[in-house]
Amino acid sequence: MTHLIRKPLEPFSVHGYRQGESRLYTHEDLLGHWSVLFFYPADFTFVCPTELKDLGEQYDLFAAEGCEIFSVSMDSHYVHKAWADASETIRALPYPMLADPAGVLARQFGVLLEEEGQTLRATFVLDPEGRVALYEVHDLGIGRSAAELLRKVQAARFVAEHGDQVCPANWQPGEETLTPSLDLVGLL
Amino acid sequence: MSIESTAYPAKSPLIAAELEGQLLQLFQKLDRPVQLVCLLGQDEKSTGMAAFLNHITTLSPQLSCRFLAPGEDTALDERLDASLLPATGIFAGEEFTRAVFHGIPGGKEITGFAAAILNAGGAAKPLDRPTLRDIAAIRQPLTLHVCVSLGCQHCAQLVMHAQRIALENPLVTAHMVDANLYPALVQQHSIQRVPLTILNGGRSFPGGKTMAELTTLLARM
Repeated sequence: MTHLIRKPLEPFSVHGYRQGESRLYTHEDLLGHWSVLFFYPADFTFVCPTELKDLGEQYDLFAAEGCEIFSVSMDSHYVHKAWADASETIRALPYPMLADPAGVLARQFGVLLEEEGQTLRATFVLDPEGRVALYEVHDLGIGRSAAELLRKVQAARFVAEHGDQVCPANWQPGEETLTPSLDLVGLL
Repeated sequence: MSIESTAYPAKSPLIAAELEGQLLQLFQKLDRPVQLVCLLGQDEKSTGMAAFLNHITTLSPQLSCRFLAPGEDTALDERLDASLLPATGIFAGEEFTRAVFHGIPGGKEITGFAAAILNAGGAAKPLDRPTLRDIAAIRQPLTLHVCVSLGCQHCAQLVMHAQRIALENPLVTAHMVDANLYPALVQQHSIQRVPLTILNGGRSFPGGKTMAELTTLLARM
């Protein structure tokens, strides 16, 4: 078993649905900017719309980070449209809903549940070159937070732009003063 | 009117025997008086800093400290930035070296604090000619607040670079800020990572920098 960090995006072409319009989306739609691939098990389920809605409500914040969002399920784009027609929440989603009925993307990212014909609840953040910068994979019932995801996208972008010359800070008031450790080499 | 140093503990638990020995040896290099001037608040960190300075000044006859409350000397309040207490300025005798520390310089920041004392005491590490030329090329008044975390390995070096630049160029003042102590500042500048350097209270730039990178960046301001 290996990890997917820095894995390059492989070519693909799938249909997608966005606010009343369907078109083909390819890997090139995910290049040149940060991207979130947001896999969810299936349309017309209960937990999914809350996650998708949460993500939609924070879409502008992701856009401000130069990050595009793409949700993905193994439903066809016709099913996406039917769901949007039936649900005001889904109709309002500002990002494309990719249709992956053949599991092309689900297999590429290793999140396909073959026997169930669904994907795990998984999120991949890709850098502008299409390489995986971070990912999280949840079992089906465990929801995700758009706010947490946004913080991770910001961190990934920051590190990509500024290298590793920074330390993440957890600003919890009341941290104990650290015991001083003198670096004599830096002084002599 | 200064606050009596005896109002605070004479020793700091942060300065253990080994560190004390190292600092004793290091401060033998001081060849002129260094004054540590500290603006203190009423909080626990201020008390801790006063004890820290009381202890530090026992390590060399060249070292002394002076404690004041904000408002006693408005010019000093401005120079040391009394909005972030405790604030300790490093003086070569009576001359401000433009190096300031906000909070207690524990963790990795002790190295920068010792370096600032050595700088003020005439024991600064020599700089090469190109670096001095680059520092002289900074022609705008710049106040740098280098926000750090005490455990950050990139921060202490940046603080040392910034304060060395301040020592050489009277237009520059360099503050080390233990950001953990100042949540309002963290919130104002949305600080999630350190080091983060705030320039003249406004724009900021993140990450560690070499001396050459920092002088180039500051000269462009």
